[in-house]
Amino acid sequence: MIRDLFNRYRQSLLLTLALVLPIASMYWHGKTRTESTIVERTLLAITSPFTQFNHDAIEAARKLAQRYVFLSDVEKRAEVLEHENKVLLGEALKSRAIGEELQRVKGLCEFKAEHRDFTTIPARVIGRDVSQFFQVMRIKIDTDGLVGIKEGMAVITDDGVVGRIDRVSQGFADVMLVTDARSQVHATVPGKGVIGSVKGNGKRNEFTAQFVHLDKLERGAPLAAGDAVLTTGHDRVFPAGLEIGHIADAAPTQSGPYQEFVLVAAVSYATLEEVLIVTGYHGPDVEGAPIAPGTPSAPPDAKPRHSVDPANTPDAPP
Amino acid sequence: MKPFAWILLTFLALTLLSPLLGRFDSQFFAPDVALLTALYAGSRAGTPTAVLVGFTVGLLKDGLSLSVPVGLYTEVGVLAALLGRFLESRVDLRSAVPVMATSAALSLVATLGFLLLEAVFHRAFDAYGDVLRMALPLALITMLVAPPWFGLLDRVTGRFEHPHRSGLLGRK
Repeated sequence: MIRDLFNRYRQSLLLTLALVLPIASMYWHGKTRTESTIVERTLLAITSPFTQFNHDAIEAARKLAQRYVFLSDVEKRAEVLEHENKVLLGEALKSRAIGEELQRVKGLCEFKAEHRDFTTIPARVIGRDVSQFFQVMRIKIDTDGLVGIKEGMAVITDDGVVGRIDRVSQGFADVMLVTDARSQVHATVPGKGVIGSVKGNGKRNEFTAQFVHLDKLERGAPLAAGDAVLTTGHDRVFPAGLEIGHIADAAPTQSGPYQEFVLVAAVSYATLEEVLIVTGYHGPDVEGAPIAPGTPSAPPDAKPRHSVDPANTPDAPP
Repeated sequence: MKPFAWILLTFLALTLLSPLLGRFDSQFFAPDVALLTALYAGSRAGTPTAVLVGFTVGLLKDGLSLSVPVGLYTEVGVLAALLGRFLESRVDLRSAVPVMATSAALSLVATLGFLLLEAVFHRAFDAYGDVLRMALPLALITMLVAPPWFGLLDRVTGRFEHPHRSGLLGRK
């Protein structure tokens, strides 16, 4: 009987339910609540995957069309990227230059910390005089604001000897390089028992050294190509133990008691950016004595004995 | 099977339209395909089927919206299906122009119904002005979409029915 009743009023029942259920639902969900109901959660669970899938599909289609079909913003994007590329390239070059400068300054600082027997002032290279054969003849350094810079003072780097100050002008100074024909530096080769002087011959990064063996009976090993030539400090200009260059050719030219070797400079003048000006130098303990191999400088606790005397420089060959 | 196909198609359209139109910042101008499907079901199927289809597509739209009390679009869907049943013998809902006119009118009525139900059941709702401003554009876009949507549903129906029956998109 209930079944017949249901069959008879099935349509009306369905219609009533279809109209009343949403109203009941609205009444229930219309109240202010903080948590979502089970109906909302169920609906969300059903619809969310489809919505997400369609959203992703549309996004993928849009990207595909934009990248490969319309190419709408490719030109503009390329221009932006090109501009960015230029900016970044400039910044990269600037960073590299700063990095190299830091490296050089670090080298100079370490050198200064290792050599406390003489005092130095840093200076920046601001110009180079270049010959018609692209040889650096002399350099100019910025001395603006530096006190006590005098002609004849030694100019060095952590790599070795650069030259000496030739002329001091307003705010800058000319540096005569050790390769200059007028230059002469007292030198030795550690462990070889020789002493002599290095003279510039005006050639590109090249100069000659004249050595005499101190004692022919106790002659050490012969000089070889690549041997480092260091300052002795006896000329009172350059501190002892600084590298001037190295022997380029082991076959010497005999000139009286001296053997003459061709040297290659330790410092590259073309790329020089910062230098140290030696303003105070203690000098070796025993004046005129050859420096011992492996002892490039005086002990760190040595007290200053005298400053550089620019006039006291060797003018004549030994 | 036909009602399931209509519901599935409508659900797919509902899930597609929102993100698709959102791309062009015009998601508020999405045609009311749920309403159209309810009207279509009312004009093509018996009362129980039409009511069930209207109920289901309305519920699915409620699920996709969730900004209104669940049941609001369901109620609107059921009423649209019943209206479709009522108009079935009075208006030729197989021709494009009557379909467009009926759809536009139904969309406006549905918006009013929406506002009424919101006023009664959703106290926090206060965007009556926005809804009213959107009513006409929504009716217009729904009206324009109605003939192809009916045609598409006709084609789907044709898969299950007599192969020679004509629809809005021609013979199947």
